[in-house]
Amino acid sequence: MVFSSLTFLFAYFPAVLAVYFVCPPKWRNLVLLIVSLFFYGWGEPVYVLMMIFSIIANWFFGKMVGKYRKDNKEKAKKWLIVCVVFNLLLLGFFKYWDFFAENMNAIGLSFIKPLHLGLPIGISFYTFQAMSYPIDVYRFDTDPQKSVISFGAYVTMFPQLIAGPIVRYKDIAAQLMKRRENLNQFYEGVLRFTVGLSKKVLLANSCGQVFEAVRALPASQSSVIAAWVGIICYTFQIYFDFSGYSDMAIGMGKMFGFDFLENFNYPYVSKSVTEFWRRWHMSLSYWFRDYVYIPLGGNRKGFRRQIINIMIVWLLTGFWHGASWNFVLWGVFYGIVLIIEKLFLLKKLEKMPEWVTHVYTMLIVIIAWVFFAFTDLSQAFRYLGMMFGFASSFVNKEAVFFLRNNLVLMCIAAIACTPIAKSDLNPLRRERFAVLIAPLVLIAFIVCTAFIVDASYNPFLYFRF
Amino acid sequence: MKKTDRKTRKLIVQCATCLVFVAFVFVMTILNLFWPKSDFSENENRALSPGVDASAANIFFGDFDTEFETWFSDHFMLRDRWIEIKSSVRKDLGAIENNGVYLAHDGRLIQQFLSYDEKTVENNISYLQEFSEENDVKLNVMLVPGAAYGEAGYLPIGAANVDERALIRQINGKLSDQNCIDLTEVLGTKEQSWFRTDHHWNEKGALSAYGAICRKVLDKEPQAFNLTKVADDFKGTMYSKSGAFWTKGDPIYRMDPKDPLTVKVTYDNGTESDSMFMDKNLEIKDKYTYYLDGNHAHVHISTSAETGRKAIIIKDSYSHILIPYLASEYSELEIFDLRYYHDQVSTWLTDKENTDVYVIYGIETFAADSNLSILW
Repeated sequence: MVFSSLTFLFAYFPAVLAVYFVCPPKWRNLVLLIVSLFFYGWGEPVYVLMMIFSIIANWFFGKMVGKYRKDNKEKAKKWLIVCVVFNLLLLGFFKYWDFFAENMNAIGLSFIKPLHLGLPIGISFYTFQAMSYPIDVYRFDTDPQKSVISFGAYVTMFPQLIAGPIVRYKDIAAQLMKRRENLNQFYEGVLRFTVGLSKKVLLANSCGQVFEAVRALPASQSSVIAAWVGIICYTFQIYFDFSGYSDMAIGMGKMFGFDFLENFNYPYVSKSVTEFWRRWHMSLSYWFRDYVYIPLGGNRKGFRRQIINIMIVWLLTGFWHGASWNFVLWGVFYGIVLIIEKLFLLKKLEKMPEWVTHVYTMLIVIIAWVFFAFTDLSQAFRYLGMMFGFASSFVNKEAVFFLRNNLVLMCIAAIACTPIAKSDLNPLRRERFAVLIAPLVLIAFIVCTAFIVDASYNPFLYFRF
Repeated sequence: MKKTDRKTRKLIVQCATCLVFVAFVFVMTILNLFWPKSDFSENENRALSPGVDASAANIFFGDFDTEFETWFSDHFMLRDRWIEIKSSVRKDLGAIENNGVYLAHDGRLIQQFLSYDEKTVENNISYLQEFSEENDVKLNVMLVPGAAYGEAGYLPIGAANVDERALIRQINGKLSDQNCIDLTEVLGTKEQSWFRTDHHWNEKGALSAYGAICRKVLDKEPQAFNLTKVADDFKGTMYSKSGAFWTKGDPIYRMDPKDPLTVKVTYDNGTESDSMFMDKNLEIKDKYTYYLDGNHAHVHISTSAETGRKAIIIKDSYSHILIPYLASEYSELEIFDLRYYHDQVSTWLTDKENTDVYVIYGIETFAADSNLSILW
């Protein structure tokens, strides 16, 4: 069940809100755990057992690490290693086994068979999240959680369960035990959720349709401009989809009294790729920084080691996004760009006019999205070729149609990528116009509902066809 | 004083916003729960999800979740109103198309024809050629262009469609052994030849095509027909597909030759009728089925026209509105829809001397339909 579905908005979520606020505060973690397990079990009725197992195991590892971390560092470390291996095996088995087996088969080792198990939803997110807890305990960043229910509520919390942000245990440990849901926070949550839903339903889905239509065009109808319109729409789609989801998660978190860390900070206004990655999917970047890059030595062991560390992190980042070579390539591409920037390019960029740095950054990002959009590498290169001139024409009537039909959408999307709404240019920030907020929320909800209902609209032109 | 004033105002905004959100979600949830459910969606022309199998096996190992979500959205309250809101928002945001339909001038809804598969076209050409050679018969091929061609003048600026004239001429060129009837010069020059809200051509378009057939196949002047309006509110497939539910419907006409003609129509399901028009279908949404009762695998018509000639028509639904004209020229017509008729058509070709074989398709179907392989 995705947030942008009728079932979620007009069945699950109101029920959860009602139960949560009817229950006294001390039961609310239990409520959260139960409704989150239901949410997860809705799509994964079997894997929910594995999730419960993972919760209990990680909670137990945290407890053991906590028990020994003061007096017996060695033993604590052993438990920590067991914990990390356990989590990585879980993730590795479900997410990467088939990929591994298929590649082994490709080089002739056929005794390993792909299993074709379905990937449990959100496993990449929740194993990372669960794993952070014993590590934080080991580092004295937090204390062990006594209640397995509260820990379970942390791991399963449905707003961020399937698409992040990846919440680190230490960041919400205090709120988990004591939080005060209040009007101001609920209000902010409502606004945030509405913005997120609109981003996902109105912008991401519409832009996604444009990209799908462009990529479905036969080669004889391809053109350079159409290819660019398509990939720009994909660029919008992936940002609004992901950040919209994060907004909805953060919004619902606020309604329940939690403050999750931000996950996106207007990445498309960056002036370098380095900056882009400080603004894009920040919770993942923090995770890799805190749990991989810094433990590997970060930049403290000399320049050569730093380069190697960066490459390791980016290889893993790419691989985390999906068990497929295009994602590995995508990660490696970013690793190389970031190293080049670190070596000399950043200093040069600083001296250049601002627009050049923006164009440069977006160019790199858009090219990288091509490898993200196509799991088939040959298709990715063909599309890239179309963008850079290997199309049947530069501009054709199809390109004009896509531009004309989606001009307003693309303009709105472009504006929504910038922090204009956070500036004084946004009239809603003036007290005078604050009365408009409630009606706008209502309108946004009505329009989003219309778009969601429309997505299930499926006219059959010919009966019996 | 001023500070508290500001504070109260902020509080009011916050309360109002939260209230709007909570009220919207809860009121909708409760209303939807009790909203009457229906079995069939007229606009979508499909049965809605009948219900969900809530057995343990389906919940744990089946598709309970997706089935439930389909059921939930299929029966969501005021379904068509939401669709209409979506299409009007898109229109207001400057889109010229929704769901593959152009929102054209003058309230016209015109099917977009953006691309086609060249391979399918090639295949269909060769199926026709082989059918012709195998049975030693010359085919009368008529590919009907769509409104996107004939009413291009109504299309919004920026609309992109396949060049139907070029495509039809290219196909006709490859079928040079056959007798191809090119309608690109005949249709859409003077009169409105297509419905405003449906992808089919209308009675005027079909009449022009009948005239072309008379001249190019039968070598005679067309007969005169009386047109009578029988319905006024035909909301066709483009109406449904576009979600532009604010659009007015089209009229439906019945056509009768000036010299009276009696017919006997036998449908594949055994029903017989003494008319090519189905009056009862004027009560349903898809009023185009008024003509020959919509899609049937095989329809047989015998008429009082004493020409001694027979027509075999391999067709899609574009032909339905043409056949009432054409029937007056033949004693007998055998009509086949290859999407549903899966036997040998050639077995019906008994008296080649006195038989005309027609292939009548909308160009868009012809470029996408893979069922012509049955001819081969």
